[in-house]
Parts: sequence; structure tokens; C-alpha cells
Amino acid sequence: MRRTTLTVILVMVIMVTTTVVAAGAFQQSPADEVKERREEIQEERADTVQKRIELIITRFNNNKDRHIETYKRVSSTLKEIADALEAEGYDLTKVRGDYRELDLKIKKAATDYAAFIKKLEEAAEIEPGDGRFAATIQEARSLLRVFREDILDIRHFYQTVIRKDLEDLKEQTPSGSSSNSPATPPIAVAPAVS
Amino acid sequence: MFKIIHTRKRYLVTICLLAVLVVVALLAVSCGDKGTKTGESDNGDTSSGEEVSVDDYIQELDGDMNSVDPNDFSDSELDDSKLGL
Repeated sequence: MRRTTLTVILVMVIMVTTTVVAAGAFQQSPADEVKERREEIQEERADTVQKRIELIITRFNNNKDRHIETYKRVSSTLKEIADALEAEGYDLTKVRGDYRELDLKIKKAATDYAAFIKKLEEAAEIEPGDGRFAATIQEARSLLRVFREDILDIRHFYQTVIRKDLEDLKEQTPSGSSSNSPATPPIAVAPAVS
Repeated sequence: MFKIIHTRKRYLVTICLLAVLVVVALLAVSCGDKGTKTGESDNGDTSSGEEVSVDDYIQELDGDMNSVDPNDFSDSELDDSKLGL
């Protein structure tokens, strides 16, 4: 009887000990828990940043399309003016040069924009915790500045050169005209419908 | 006899007047729908003979240039807060 009791107690002790040891083996230390939580936060952050970059790219693309379409429309209107007034006997050399230069500026802006977006897409593929991320974003910011300069250059070119050359047309006397008084030359074409 | 003829004559004149009025009204309605404005062709296009001055074009170009804002590409569009950093 006494031996049986001892055996039962021994078996129970062994079972309890085994359970405690097994539980201890699977239980994480507080340091591990912190590490795991930190990794989860980093993953969530990386996901958030990636989604935001994708959103920013979409917005930039929409704005770029609007800008480029507008400047192209300005260029085609200039060509329209040149074609119509040349037939009236006006000298359109400057205006023709203007829209050709504008086309080159638009092309440069589009190329610079493509480089900027490529860099931003590259950043979206890197985790924010990675050291390369900050450097890539910094490069993207520099390329954005280059594109903005292109846009400002186009606007400055319009204000200071194109507009002036158009205003100067009003002072011109067409070669085929007998009148000497400068007047606003009418153009016998329909304005571009926007 | 004379009275009957006279009455019939008045009746015919009234009918004719009414018919003329109807025709005029129909013509007015018809012209209101299909009438053309000055400088516009039947299909609604502006005629190629319309004169547009350089000032009009400058105004149109100004409008185009002012329809877009360079601040769409300002530095702040890519700052840390916008990126969620």
C-alpha cells in the first residue's frame, strides 16, 4: 500500500515536472516578445509607406498628364495662329521658333518626370527600415525638384517669350496689306475648342 | 339669297384666315428649332469665316496656362508626413 502510494506520488511529480518544463520551453521570453512585436510594427509600417507611395505616384501621374496636355495644347494653338497669320502675310518666324522650343521643353519635362517616377517606384520596393530607403527617397525628391524646374521654365518661357512675340504681331503690317496702321490682326479660323 | 352667299363668303374668309395663322405659327415653331445663329452653320459648327483676333488667342492661352498649378509638384508633396514616416 505504501509502495503504491509512493509510486503514484512519484508518477504525479514526474508528470507535473514534465508539464512545467515543456511549458517553459515553448514560452517566449519578454525580450523575444518585444522583438516579435517590433517586427510586426515594422511590417505594418512598411505596408503603410508602400501604399502611400503608390497613392502619391497615382496623384503625380494624374497631375503630370494634365500639365503635359495643357502645354501641348498651347503649342498646337501657337501652330494654328502661325499657319493662319502666315497666310495673311505676317512674319511668323518667331512664333514658329517659340512652339518648336516649347515642344522641346515639354519633351524634357516628360523625360525628367519618367526618371522621377522610376526612382519613387524603386523606393516603394524597399522597406523603410532599410538604409537604402532614405537615400532613394532623397534622390526622388531631387528628381521631383528637377521636374518642377522644367514646369516653371515652361511657364516662364510662355510669360516672357511667347506672349511677347504674340503681342508684337499686333504691331506688324502684313506684307500683302496696303494699310500702314498697325492693328490687331484678325485670324480667319475657329478658335480651338477645349 | 344674297344673305346666304354673303354669310358663306364670310365663313370662307374666316377659315382662310385661320389656316394662314396656323401656317405662320407652324413656320415660327419650325424656325425656332432649326434656325441658325450668325456665324454658325446648319450643323452647329462655327463658320470658318469667323474672325478671331490675336488678343482672343492670348486670352485662351492665358486661360490654359492658368488652369494648371506648378505647386502640384512642390517638395511638400513628398515630405515625411505624406509618406507616413
